[in-house]
Amino acid sequence: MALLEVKNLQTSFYTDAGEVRAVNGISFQLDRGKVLGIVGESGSGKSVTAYSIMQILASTAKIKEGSSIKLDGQELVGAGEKVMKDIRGNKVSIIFQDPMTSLNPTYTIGHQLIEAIMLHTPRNKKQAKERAIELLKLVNINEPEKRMKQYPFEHSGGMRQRIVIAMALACEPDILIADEPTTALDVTIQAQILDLMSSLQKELGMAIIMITHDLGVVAQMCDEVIVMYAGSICEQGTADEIFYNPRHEYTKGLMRSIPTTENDDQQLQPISGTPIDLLNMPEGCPFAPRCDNAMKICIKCSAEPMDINENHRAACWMNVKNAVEDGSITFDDINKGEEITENE
Amino acid sequence: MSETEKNGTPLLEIKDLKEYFNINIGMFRSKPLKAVDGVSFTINKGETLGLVGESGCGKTTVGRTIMHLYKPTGGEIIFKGKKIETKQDINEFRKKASIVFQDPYSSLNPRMTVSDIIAEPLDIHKLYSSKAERSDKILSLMENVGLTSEHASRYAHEFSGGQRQRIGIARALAIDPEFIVCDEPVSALDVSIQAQVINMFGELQKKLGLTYLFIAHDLLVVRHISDRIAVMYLGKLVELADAKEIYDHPLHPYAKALMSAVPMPDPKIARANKRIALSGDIPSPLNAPSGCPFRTRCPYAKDACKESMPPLEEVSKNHFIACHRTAEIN
Repeated sequence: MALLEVKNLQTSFYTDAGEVRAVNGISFQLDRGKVLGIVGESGSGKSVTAYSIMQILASTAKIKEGSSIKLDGQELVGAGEKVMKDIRGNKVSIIFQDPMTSLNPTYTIGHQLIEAIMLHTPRNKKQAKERAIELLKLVNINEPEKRMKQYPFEHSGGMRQRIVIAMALACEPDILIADEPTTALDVTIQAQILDLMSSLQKELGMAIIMITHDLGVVAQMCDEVIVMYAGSICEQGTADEIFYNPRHEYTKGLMRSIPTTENDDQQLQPISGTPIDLLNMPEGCPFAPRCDNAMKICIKCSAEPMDINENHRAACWMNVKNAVEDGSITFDDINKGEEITENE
Repeated sequence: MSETEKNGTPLLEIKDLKEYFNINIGMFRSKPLKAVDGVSFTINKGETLGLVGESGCGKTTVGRTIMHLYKPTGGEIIFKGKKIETKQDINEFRKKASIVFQDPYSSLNPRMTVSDIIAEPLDIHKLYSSKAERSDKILSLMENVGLTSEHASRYAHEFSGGQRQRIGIARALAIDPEFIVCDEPVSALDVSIQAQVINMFGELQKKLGLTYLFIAHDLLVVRHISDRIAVMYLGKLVELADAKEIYDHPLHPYAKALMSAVPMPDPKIARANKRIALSGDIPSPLNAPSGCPFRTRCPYAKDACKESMPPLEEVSKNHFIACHRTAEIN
């Protein structure tokens, strides 16, 4: 059984301007000890997915009926705050982009660490202090005893992120959700933090959900990758499949638009248009208005995820078209197939 | 420098530029923060010089000091062979040089329409003779950056990040500049939009013969757009070379670590990549180490590094590096 099983997750924000479908029916699984990357641009719903799992959404947001999030077989949607309090920090921990906002500036590092440990584990203050020092050593902080007495502002960005990671690991969670953990950090510090996360992941055997917009970070860290656009999953699969065999037009466009060491004599090929307005979602595939290869059917209805191979699923009509053309499926297999080969 | 001799006068020459900020450290006491401490380089006409480094290294301050948004503490800024000294020089220089800022949200006045934002440099320098000429100029500037006339009367908040950055670029182009300081112009944008703006910088350069100082921390972006790259660390230039050369064969220990830390968007390369891990953090520029600023984190540091800052020397053609131990470690 998968450690985490998300099925048809739908999270909406109810604003004065209308319903914003931030996450629009996504499903995925996470196995023990794996690193799953969720990539997407701002507004793609990657963070809202994480917050939905933790149920730390803003009061205007709601996980809609029919959604299911199962952790170790236990249903979390509708489970209530009491259950979630027990899950958060114990089984699933989260770290955020800006470590300064996750630490309280008016308390010492030691105070905050000890508080977190005593809240979640049956330790007394002395034992909690020992555990705090042990955790700081685990995340490679020198002189942990001295650091315990200092305040967050006395630490650099990289060190604060280590402290936040230490805090998140206090109860040895099964899953660590990292929401853009290195975006605010410099490259050399980012490398330190990513290395630390990799080694801790192996040492403690936890699973990581890595939320980022940086394809480089994904390539380096993740076993599996989910690509999101406008609240939907475009494509999911192993990192190698996604990078070397992208099968959704959005993923292909992303790969072409980033500078690499190979394309530096050529022009980049940007994705045209601007990101989608979530209040005015198109009827069909959300990427269709920006897609150079959009067909009539793409504008009418969105494609269901289709298995490319056992390690790879993509929701793009292009794959259906190709499959029909090479004869591996027939029109009868898909109800809406009649307009599929007509290019717009 | 040899490249100067080869190409005649460079468009812009920076000599031993210094920018110190006074920081109060208690009542009646202050201490200089050496944001830029003796930086020299040249930029030739039509080229793009990339300036990279981590936060706090002084790269933005270099750009702003060149534009005289800060008064230089020391050193010379020479534009087309003429040293910029008096207020009049600065005014003349700003008719030929402009700047694009990082944050497209805070750099555009929310109370001005797009056409007024773009025309502000024209108004300041009185670069039109009639109202009709002013609006013609605004329209052609907007076309240059892919905006249409219907955008002219709108306000900045009605645009997405990428479009705002286009407005910022149109404003920078208003004076018909020869030189533009681009201060992290794509860092705040999404990946798919980033490529649009990067391409636009390239097209404008070709079309208008522009020269860029391109400041950024994303090394893959800088490598893509730059002809040469300069690497800064704690207010000092540590290496300067051709973009590909410095990326593929960095010589300074800091540049080596920096280049190896770039996460490559390719799983096989990323997994095989041997990163050079640097210990510790960047020291505060208020308490910069003596001698070479990198010595506290450098795996090769020895006593000589404590005593003096190594000069920037040409070790191979057009490849400059400031390190006492170049010969031994490479």
